[in-house]
Amino acid sequence: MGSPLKKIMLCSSEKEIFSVEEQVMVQHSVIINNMIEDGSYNYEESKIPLDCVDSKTLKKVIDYCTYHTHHHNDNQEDLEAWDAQFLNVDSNGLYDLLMAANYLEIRNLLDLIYRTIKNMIKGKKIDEIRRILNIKDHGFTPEEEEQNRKEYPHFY
Amino acid sequence: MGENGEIFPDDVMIDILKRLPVKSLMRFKCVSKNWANLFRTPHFTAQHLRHSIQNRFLLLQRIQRSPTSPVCSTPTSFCLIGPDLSVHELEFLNFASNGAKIVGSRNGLLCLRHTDHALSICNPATRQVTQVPRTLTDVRTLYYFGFGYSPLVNDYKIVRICVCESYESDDDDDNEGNDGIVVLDDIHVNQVEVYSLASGSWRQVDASNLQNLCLVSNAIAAGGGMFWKATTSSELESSQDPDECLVSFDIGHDIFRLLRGPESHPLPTTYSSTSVLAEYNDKLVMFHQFMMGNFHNFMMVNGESSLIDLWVLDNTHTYAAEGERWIKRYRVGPFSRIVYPISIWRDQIVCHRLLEHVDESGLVKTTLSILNPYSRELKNLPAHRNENYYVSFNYAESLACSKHSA
Repeated sequence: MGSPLKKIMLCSSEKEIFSVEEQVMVQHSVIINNMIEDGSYNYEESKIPLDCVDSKTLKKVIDYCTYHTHHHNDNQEDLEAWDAQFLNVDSNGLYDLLMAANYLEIRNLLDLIYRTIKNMIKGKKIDEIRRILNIKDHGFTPEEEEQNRKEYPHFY
Repeated sequence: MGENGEIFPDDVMIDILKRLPVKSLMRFKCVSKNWANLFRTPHFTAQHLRHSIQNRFLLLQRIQRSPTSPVCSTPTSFCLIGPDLSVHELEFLNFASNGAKIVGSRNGLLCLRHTDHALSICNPATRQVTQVPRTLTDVRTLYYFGFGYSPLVNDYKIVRICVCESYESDDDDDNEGNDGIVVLDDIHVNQVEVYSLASGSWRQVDASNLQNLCLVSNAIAAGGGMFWKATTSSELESSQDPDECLVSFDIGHDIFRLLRGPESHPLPTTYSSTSVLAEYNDKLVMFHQFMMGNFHNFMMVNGESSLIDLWVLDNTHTYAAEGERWIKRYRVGPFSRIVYPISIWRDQIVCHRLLEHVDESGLVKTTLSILNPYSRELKNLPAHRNENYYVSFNYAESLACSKHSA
């Protein structure tokens, strides 16, 4: 575990540098925790390059980690409300966050994103799901599609 | 991005879909052909089940006691109790079962035994019901059934054990062994047949080592095995307590073995003890329930009077050669309420709790409860209805297919 006052540098795909409390990232990201623990991060010179995370997404990830580090004692309801507000982004934004959380191995953020996508499609009609997930080629032949629509009209 | 401009890549979608209830997936197979194919793969089915098991339900079969004869009983209906103790009626199963009894519940599949002795395998979540073909031989006798799954051979099997009575019985209709309560003196196992879902056929299995045994419980499936409590037939002195042992059936290898139960050391004041088999985290467990103190009357219990020990068969999966290793997991009690453990669900003991009064017909009344072994908190289950008793199973919904693969 790093000291709470130390800062580390994260570098986005646009080469923008973000300075974050070490503690915040160590607590949430398995990858960064490992880098700090095995000593491969040099506080004087290193910055962690995150070539697949753009600045906008990285800023959001840092916001998430910071908030959850400083508010982990808040009641569950408040945290959930904050999370819901935090993930109020479009599908593409959600995808970018998912990729970043996956790369940095931020388990609770990954879980939150999975739950959010799950809720985006759960209980939805087939046509809506196709639109939300941008599924243009469903792979059914026109006959199969027609058969399904006839057999399960209430699904569509 | 996914291959065809989809927002999320396939592996992400698989990760999400495996968390969804079967009802949603049954609908989502119309979203795309890829999804429809995905839901049919054994790999996805297994991944989905791993999630679903964490959310497993308690499946209750309500059985109505006949007001005239306490021995006669009619299965009435099924319900599921959710992790939050909400009750869900299983309308589909109520309709499909038509008075059938559940033989076993494994990976989302149920084996049902119908009133006409036919068997079926049913997935209540996908609403798939498959009739099991008739057995090789059809002797009118007592049957014991078991239903289990072996990961080793990736197959579900039904075991049918026929027992013969050496004396004439004048009512063979109601004397069916599968309720696990009937204890007869001179009976022995004479034939065993095993149905494999993968092959879709029955075959006879050697059970010569069971010949002198009398099965005294329902089958419990755990790991790759099925287990029964048994006693050695008391041809000698009926005054002597018969020796209790366990019968195991290795589903992967079709082999019966005899096992020792855990050593129990009843307390000096114990006046009665019972043992009950159950499944816990895919291992076989045995409850030992002791009642202590002065036995005047069931209803008049003073002070602390009952205890439950839980033993775990440590090597359920490898019980082959080296003998059994039982580990005592915990002891609950002593406490004043009389509870009969019947199974374990989500770390809690499902039990019948004796109520302190008798109804007009003279039957002892019980309620179905769950007992937290650590806090000793005892909660009534909401499914309780006075006229019923319950057979309970763990149930996790799944996409498992009840049809044989050929």
